[in-house]
Amino acid sequence: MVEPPIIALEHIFFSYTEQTPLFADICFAFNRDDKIGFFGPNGKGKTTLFRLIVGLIKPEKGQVLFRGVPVHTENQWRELRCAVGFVLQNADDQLFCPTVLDDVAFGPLNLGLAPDEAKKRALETLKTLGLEGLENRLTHTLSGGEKKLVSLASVMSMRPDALLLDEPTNGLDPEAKARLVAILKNLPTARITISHDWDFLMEISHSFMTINNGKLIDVDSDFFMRPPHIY
Amino acid sequence: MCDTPFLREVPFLCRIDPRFRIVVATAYAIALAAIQNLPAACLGVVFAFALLLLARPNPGATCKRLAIINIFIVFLWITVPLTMGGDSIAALGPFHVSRAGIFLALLVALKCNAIAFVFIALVAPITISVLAHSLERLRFPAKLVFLLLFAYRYIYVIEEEWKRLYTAAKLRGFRPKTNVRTYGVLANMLGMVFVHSFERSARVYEAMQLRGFCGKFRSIALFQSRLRDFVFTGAAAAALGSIILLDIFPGKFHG
Amino acid sequence: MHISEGVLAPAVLGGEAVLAAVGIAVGLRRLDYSRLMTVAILSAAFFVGSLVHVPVGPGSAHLILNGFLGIILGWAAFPAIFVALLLQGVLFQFGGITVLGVNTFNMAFPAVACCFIFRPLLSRGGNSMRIGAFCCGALSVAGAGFLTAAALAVSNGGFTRSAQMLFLAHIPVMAIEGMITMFAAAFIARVKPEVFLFSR
Repeated sequence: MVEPPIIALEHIFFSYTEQTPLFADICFAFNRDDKIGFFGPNGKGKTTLFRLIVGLIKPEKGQVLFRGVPVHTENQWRELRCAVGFVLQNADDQLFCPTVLDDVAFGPLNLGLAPDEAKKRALETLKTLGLEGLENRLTHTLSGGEKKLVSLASVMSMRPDALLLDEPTNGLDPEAKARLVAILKNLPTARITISHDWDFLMEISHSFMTINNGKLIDVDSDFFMRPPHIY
Repeated sequence: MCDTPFLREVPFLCRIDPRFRIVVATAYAIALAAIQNLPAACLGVVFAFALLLLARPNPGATCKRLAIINIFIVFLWITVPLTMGGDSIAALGPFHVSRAGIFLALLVALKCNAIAFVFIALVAPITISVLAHSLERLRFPAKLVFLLLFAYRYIYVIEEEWKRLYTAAKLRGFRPKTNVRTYGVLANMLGMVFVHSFERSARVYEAMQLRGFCGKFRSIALFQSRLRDFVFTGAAAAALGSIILLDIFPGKFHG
Repeated sequence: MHISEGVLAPAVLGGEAVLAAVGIAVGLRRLDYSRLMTVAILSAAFFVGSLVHVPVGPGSAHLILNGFLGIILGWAAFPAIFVALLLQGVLFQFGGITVLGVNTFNMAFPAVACCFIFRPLLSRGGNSMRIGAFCCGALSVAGAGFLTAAALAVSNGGFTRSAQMLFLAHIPVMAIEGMITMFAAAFIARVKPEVFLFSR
């Protein structure tokens, strides 16, 4: 039997204002081995697509399916959010606990793990991402790169089946970026990554897509070799 | 603006469970607040100072804190002895220095500083995160613990934002003066900070929902009482008891 | 102004602590966790705001901003101010443990009271809103000063004159706080009026 996609969007219509529809009849499927690079100009709906996927905003028409099942109730959305980890653009919005350990353990605690198991899981996750030693640091004292990696850890500790990464290299210096690339290359988890940094996207993604006129467009990797004349 | 200069590794007192430290400090503060007699207040200061020495806090930060606390005490020293009625022990121009006023100012100064010493020794070195979790274990309401944790987390972010706005204004020639225009500019910046904070809170709550938060806030903090915690509390209780006894029976200890 | 530890009588400390606890309970009761996060972050904003220096003649003063917080949060100003004071106490030692209840009540009660008294003015927008905001800012500070002075005077007769002086010292600050509250509220009304719906 063919495994259903982790996430499927069917005939999604969405707009913020009545005049300009953002998405007009979008259909999209996201499978276990996909590593998608998502690019395009600002304001065209990339983050909005992520927000639709995790149910922070609801479409006017159409539905979101999680493992083949349409998502309607709050409980179903919660299950989806625990399986599809969303790493936000702004790490300060995501790292809302005072210490790193508290933050990385927050997800596992919500999943129902006992406090000591959650702590163990958090420490393991930090170690996997090469962040051991940071667990007792106060989050507001971290550097930009450390914050970004810890926010990734805080999502990874929930062991999601897929990741949504929103501009993960924003504000990172080359060293922090290299660390992130190394981590993502070794991560088998399915992901969609929004970024303007095409070198970065090329390194960590296998397929690519963009938005134009309210539609998602698949793009092949040759696109990056040609001059970016569309925009 | 905001910093935590007391967080140093201190061998003895920091190894006492924070819950016990909070309880002892609070009991001390409450008992001292009720003291009415000078001998008891003096004993209170002595014990508190001993505790402060044990804690070995950063001397510069400690003096700064004590200076801030004592501003109000200095205000009372200046006003109370000169305005309170009763026996006069000296005259300062048209004012009379009253004995009762000196007594009151001295009592208050001793009590205030004793409580401050205990606080600096026992509570100030505790990080807010541990403090919040300790309070939760001490049956503080969960919603208040939540507020404490997240307010603390974002103080620094908001402070940074304020500094950025203020610097940006100064770079465009803004010089604060005592006039309506200055107040208007500062108020606009304040309003901006509040609006951004309001918007941020919506995003942070979404971030919590994205990690499965469904209304119950749990923590990983594990506290374990050890023998030394009880020994410490016992010693503190004995000291406190002697202070209270001295307050109730001051005459008994006059040599 | 924050009263230091060891000054007030236990009866005053205990009585106002109870009043503060009631206010906090009322403030928390209608808050679910989504709104609680807003209260937490605005409490942090209030904390930062109260560290701002405002030039006053040759020197400067710290803003109190309780009136402004009261306009935005209503009853939730009680737990917000409590948490901010607790943080100020631990981080800077402004005030202390036993006076937490007193300081909370003295600052929060006038703020909440003004918010409700001036709500009709505030709702009308335009100049009425500005006048209402000015009054909230100025009278909340006056109220805080009055309650602080009263707490002192009731604790011990010897403090009576000091208490009067303390109250008088708040008067110049009243006008400035009124202005700042007025301008800040006008700013928010222009930029993000939904903020004011929070306390409804």
